[in-house]
Amino acid sequence: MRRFKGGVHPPECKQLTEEKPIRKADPPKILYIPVSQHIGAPGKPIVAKGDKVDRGQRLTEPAGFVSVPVHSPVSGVVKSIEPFHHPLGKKLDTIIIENDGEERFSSELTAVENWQSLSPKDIIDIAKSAGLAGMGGATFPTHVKLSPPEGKKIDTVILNGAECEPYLTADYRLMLEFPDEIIEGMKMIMYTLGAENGFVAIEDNKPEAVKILSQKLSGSDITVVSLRTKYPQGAEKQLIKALTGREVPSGGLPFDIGAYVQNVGTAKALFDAVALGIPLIERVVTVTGSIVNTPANLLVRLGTQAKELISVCDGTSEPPAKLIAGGPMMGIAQYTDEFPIIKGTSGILILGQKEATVNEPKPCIRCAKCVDVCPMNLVPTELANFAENSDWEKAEDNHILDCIECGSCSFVCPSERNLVQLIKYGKSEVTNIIRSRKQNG
Amino acid sequence: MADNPKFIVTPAPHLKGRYSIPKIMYAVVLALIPELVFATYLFGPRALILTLIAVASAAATEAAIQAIRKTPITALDGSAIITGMLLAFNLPPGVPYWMPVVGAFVGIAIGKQAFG
Repeated sequence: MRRFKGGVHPPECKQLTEEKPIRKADPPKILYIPVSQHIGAPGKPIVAKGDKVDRGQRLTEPAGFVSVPVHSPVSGVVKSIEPFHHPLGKKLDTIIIENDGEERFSSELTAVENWQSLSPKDIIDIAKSAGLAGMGGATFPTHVKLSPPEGKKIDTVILNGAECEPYLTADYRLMLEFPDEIIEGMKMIMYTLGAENGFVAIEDNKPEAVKILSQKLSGSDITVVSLRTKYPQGAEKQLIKALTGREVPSGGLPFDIGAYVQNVGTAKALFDAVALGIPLIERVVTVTGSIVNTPANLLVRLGTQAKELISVCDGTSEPPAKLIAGGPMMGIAQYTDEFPIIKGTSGILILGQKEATVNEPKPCIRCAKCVDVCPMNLVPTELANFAENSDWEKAEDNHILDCIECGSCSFVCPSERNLVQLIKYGKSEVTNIIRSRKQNG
Repeated sequence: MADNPKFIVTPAPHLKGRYSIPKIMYAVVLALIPELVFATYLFGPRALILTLIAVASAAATEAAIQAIRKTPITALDGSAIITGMLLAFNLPPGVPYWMPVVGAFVGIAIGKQAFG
């Protein structure tokens, strides 16, 4: 069995929504479009209050290379541009659009029926103007990933359908309901990069998806691989290791070893952009949790507020105690149900009073369970201590920056220490120190 | 939904594994039971009594110190019990009964509570 080291087995909890076909959520009256929905510089708004906009119309100008625009998910009028709740847990500049319900569509993109006639450069440009960013959650701009630096040759493309986060089934439903679009999107990626090897990686708790994609891909040069269900199987570096045996060097990126990983949702979005001429204005979101009355996989316009989706799912059986954007392992707990869906929001998880436990950190008992499960071969307990004591030199020497923030260490810790939280804090401090060191020569 | 809902905000992950300190500690206690049974068979009931005294004084010391320091009392999470058992297993069966009490007190008060 192909595998990576470490990892944990959280309860899967996917049965709530895995049999639920994707259903369209009606676009709401008011939509909230944060200008920053990706990693990198936020775009600059090119519309102003009172402007009439069409569905698919570009709203921002990307600021530099590592930046993508956002588009209007509905036709309507720009109500205002002001700071608003963002799933990252703070207020960020947001374009607020009032939906006129007319669904007028206009786009800079044109549908290209025969995409093989395009050059790789054309596809990269389309990915950028369509606002594509990794939809698995990290939201790294797709066109940047599609343009590896000079001299780096990518030979292997891995389509990520692992969906190792518990509860989430958005990618699974996409694979069942849109396999052709996903496969075309993947072929576009392979064509753009000139890659020979293609893998579709799916965890073995989704046999239906493995079956459908294997049938569709039989006789092609793309292999569907069923991977053991283990968290974080869907993490980029772990997937590459499990599939190719290659390890991304410390501080390196997948292109350093000729690999490219893309989420299935992003592949479908690339297909929509290239073949249908539709920018990224909607995505599938799993709205789930044991207290949700009708958990569902919803096709949602970006900018729809969480509370709208909760009412689409007929509300909850008890007042929600915790609201999480994303899955339970890496998702971010929200302070309000008014936050909007953005490109990287794969799910909304709602926990009741009993499930929403608050941990009480106790002293480390040096059991080393975090060391056993760390998929990056780090020593989480030590890194957390360095962060707690602001010992940044030791943190850096012990490769704190290699942490992928999967949270496996916190998950297993019997002392309930906030290991991954301390390490994330340490990473940002160490990153700042390295940056200022570089600036000072 | 309430008009002004309040949500709990904690860092990820929002799921917890099945390990906890008491579970791990009591697993160790369980593993030490056969040794205790054999010691009692080999050295007679005095071995069992010594162990019980050591365990009781370890847990009592821990609870007392935590009460004085006003920290949460974790005397029954299993770790003090292990300390007591292992201490008794290291003593000859003929030692006077006060000895494991002193040993447990020094181990818990100075070793664990003072220096961690």
